Amino acid sequence: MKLLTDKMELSQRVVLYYVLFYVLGAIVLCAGIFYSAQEYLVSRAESRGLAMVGQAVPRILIPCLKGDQEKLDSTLQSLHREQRLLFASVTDTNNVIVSSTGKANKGALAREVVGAKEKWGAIESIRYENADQIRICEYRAPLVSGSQNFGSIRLAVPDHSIWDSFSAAYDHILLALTLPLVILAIGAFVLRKCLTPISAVESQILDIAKADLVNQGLVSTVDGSDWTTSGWNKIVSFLQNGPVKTRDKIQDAVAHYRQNQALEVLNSLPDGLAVTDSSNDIKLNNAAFLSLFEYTQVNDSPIGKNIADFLNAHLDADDANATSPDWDSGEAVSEIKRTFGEHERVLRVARYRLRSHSGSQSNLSVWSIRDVTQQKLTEKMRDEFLDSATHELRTPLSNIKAYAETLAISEILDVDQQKEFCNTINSEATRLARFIDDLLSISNVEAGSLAITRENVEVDRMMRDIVTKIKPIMVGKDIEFNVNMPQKTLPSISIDKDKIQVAMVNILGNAAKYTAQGGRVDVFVKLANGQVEFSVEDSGVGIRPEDLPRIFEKFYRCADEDIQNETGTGLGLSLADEIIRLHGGKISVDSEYGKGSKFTILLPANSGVLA
Amino acid sequence: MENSTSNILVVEDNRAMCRVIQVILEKAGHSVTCTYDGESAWHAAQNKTFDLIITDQQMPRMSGVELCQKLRSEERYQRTPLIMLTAKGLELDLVKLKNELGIEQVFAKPFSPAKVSEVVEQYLSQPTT
Repeated sequence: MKLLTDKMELSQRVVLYYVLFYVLGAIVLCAGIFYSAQEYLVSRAESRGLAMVGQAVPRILIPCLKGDQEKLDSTLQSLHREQRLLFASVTDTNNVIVSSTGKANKGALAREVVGAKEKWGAIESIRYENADQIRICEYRAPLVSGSQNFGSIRLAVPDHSIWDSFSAAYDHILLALTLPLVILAIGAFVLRKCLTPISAVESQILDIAKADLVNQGLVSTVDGSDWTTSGWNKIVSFLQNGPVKTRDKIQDAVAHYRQNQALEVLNSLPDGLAVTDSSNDIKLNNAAFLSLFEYTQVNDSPIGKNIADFLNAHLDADDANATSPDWDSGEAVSEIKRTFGEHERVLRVARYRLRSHSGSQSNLSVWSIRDVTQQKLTEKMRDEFLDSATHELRTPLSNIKAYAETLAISEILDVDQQKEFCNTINSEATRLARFIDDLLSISNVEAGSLAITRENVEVDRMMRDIVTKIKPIMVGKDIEFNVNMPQKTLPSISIDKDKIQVAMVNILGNAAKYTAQGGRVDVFVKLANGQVEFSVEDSGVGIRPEDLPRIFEKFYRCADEDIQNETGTGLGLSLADEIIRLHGGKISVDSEYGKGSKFTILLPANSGVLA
Repeated sequence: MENSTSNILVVEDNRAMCRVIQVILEKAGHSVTCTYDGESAWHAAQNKTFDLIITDQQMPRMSGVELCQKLRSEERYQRTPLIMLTAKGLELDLVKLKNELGIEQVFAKPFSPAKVSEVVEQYLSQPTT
């Protein structure tokens, strides 16, 4: 079945199914009608038979009671005629035929027949087929009147089957069968008619599925009204007018994409890239190349321009010669400085010969341009740090050496001077040690291993220690140094005392360093919102607003002459910031350039507060 | 060794270093003036004529070389012995210092103050030409 339907069109398949189900329905209907009709015919025949018997028995009983044989025979004959019987007979109680209208002889024993029996009280019917193969229904009823039993009466009628009824109503049956067939045929025809366009749609869809027709442009509309074509014609007209163009566009786009795939990869690179020919004219460039040179002329491609002109376009006038290498000479790497508006950038330009897969050189050059400004800045900061660090290490060392050596030939020094020299050696050694501590702390911070060991520390005592350390520097510069503590006792705070001291000494040391001779430094300690607030105010050089956000950066030192004139590593504030941060505290700065600065440290007091 | 009192100017931003040189030269019987940057040294040199000047190279506001250039432009300091102290010996062009500024003695830190004293005595004992 499946093999069959696969080869058929949709309309044929639908019609086939339609006919099959129609016939199936008709068969079920006919069977129902047949059995109902048969049942009806049988019961009608039985009703007739019983009515007939009921009528016949009293008529026969009269001659029987009278003993009138002639009347019995004639009554039987008239019954035979009236009821169109096959035969009728009367038997006595011994089953001997008393009277008969059929072939059976009077006086003979009534023949017993075998067949389907049914009984209604004393009346019974037997269906059978006689020797002439005629189906017979024989009704038998007893002839009883009061206590007198005369035997029985037998009336045989033809047993009509339903087929006999059908053959009787042959014309009607023919019509009854023909009409549904005609309707079936009309239905199939109409169905087929409606389905033909759908079938055509389906076959086209199948062809499209095989990717034949769209490519060959063979898709076409089908005949039929809108509702039967399922909108196919609209689809086809769309396919014919729009999609073919769309398809072309897609094909173009694919081709374009393939051509530009490499360029898209290049455009994803952060480094500028360009390819030039033998005369250094740009043949290809990526997006980063343009952005590195802040090339904003959208409609004006750099293709075809000389790359040397391009590289020299933003050249600083004063270092034009110094930073313009000979771009024509082979492969080279060079760093060039360019000023774009307010920004100065350092670009590392590398030129390579384009090599083919075979390794042979072409006359094309590949240029790679990388913005190394940040890298250069970092390098510069590192260099400055190294410089400062060297100075910071060497100065106390030189002093210690000079003092120790002078002490060694101590005959020229008096006792006070010897004592002074020893003190100086001590303080210089302390300075050296502190710097090395800072360096180690910073490297620990870098490595993420700066550990905080908390203990309960009394703020008053800690401040006294800090003041002891910083006082000599203040005194040395005639700086008025005041520490303002609140009247009531401050709570203990849970901190790493040594590290907090380092942070405070760094900040106070800066205040001393950048405050001129005779200036002033004030320290305020107070309790604010559950935090201990330390603020250090100085009347020093101050910090320019543009430097403020960067002063906590490692190695960062303000470019001011006043700052640069003092030695420093750019580590102190960075370390202080890290230490305070590790304590869950906060350090902030407020400064007016030329007037002074105020550093504020907030340390949480709630953890480990002693009542 | 001539034991006359000479006026010596020491210019050094490292106060401790300044102090040790001062002590050792004073012990040798000289009058020592300490200044801690180039500018104040320049002012001091204006107010008083020194027989010998010891200066650090790396200092705030005015470098040792700048100070020496300014001093040499003055008539009275054209032949004054100049001694330079430096933390970065390698960065100085010694030939240039000698030819242009007549600085023959450069001490790289760390140095021996006694050695400085010796050189000072050597210079001061030379007859002024």
